[in-house]
Amino acid sequence: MTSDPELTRIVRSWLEDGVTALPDHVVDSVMAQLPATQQRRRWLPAWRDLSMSTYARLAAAVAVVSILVIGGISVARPGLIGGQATLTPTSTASPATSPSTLLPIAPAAWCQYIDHINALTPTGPAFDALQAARLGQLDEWRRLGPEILALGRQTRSTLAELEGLGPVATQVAREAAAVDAWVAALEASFAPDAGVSDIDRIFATYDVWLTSRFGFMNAMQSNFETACP
Amino acid sequence: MNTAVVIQAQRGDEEAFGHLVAAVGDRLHAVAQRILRDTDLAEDATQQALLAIWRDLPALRDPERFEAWSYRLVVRACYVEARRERRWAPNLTLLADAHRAVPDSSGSIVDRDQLERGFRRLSVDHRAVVVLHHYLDMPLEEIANALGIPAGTVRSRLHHAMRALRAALDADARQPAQEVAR
Repeated sequence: MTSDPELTRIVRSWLEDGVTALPDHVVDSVMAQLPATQQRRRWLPAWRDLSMSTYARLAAAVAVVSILVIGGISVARPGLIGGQATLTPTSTASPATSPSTLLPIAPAAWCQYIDHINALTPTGPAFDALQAARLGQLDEWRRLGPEILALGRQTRSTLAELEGLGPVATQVAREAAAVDAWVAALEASFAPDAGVSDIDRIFATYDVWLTSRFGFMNAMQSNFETACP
Repeated sequence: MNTAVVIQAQRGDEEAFGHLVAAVGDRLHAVAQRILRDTDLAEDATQQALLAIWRDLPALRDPERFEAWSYRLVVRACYVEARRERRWAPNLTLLADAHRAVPDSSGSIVDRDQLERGFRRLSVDHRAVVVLHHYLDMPLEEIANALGIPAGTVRSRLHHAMRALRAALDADARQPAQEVAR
């Protein structure tokens, strides 16, 4: 940070100069384009803007990836999951409304995370439970971990169903590899001699997954929009 | 900011969105103009930011944060415009405004000229931090939240930018205005 009061004064004064009013033609142009500009569906979060805490992202990823994959399958292969041919907003609202076999963590143990700036409201395992694990309460982690692991494995299994599906095949393969690494790290954390560092490794692996997931999400979103105009 | 209006706009109410544009449009445009230092680019960036606001508004969970969120989108639009149009040379209108005939409280003509040149050498990342902090008076933490970057990064960028501006002011040689416009 600068501690140059004279420079600060000069810069502030300099910035005060210049146009401030938004020209009418810009406003008119924006308003004219509104009818043709579709608003983002509330149930499609702004993933590109993700900047949650690591723990919240971990929980959110488990939930949202699974839900989107389920939706993707239901669109790509009608009847494969619960006979759903289309993805509806309510199917992404909470774990309680998703197929129970893919969400082994009881709905009561889940909560909604809110990221105000990024307008992201994923649902996932309660933050406190995960944070407790990070603080060294490995017993708690081991209690909760297997359920998360089961969900990770289920996600991986579900991804396998998507492999080879034309337009998203590449993204699915990349996503599957990242999930594999993450699940492997999860499994390592349940070893008898596992420690907090193992949990840290999980999150490091998870970050790789998170990065790879952006392309996957975009592809899946396009898939939804094509199948559900 | 009237959160009820934000909520109405989130539901697709174009009239409500018009009220939002009236409320924040000038400020967004002022920020864009100061970051990009080009009136045309700033208008394009503001327009794109407003359309992005309309498009993404339903995903904004806390209407109270609308304004901070809108700054993020306008800065992002500035990145896009800066990349799309590599024309950083100032237009004549801006130069005429920047080179006043008489010194004022903000410093001499030379200061303004050198500031302009120094500022243009900064990346959009650095410009955005300077503008949000010194023009909008946003605290560093708030800037970090608005831009989605760590507070330490904001502090570092601001430090670097201000140091560069100080160096520009301290420069002995001053180029003619014609060279700036080139």
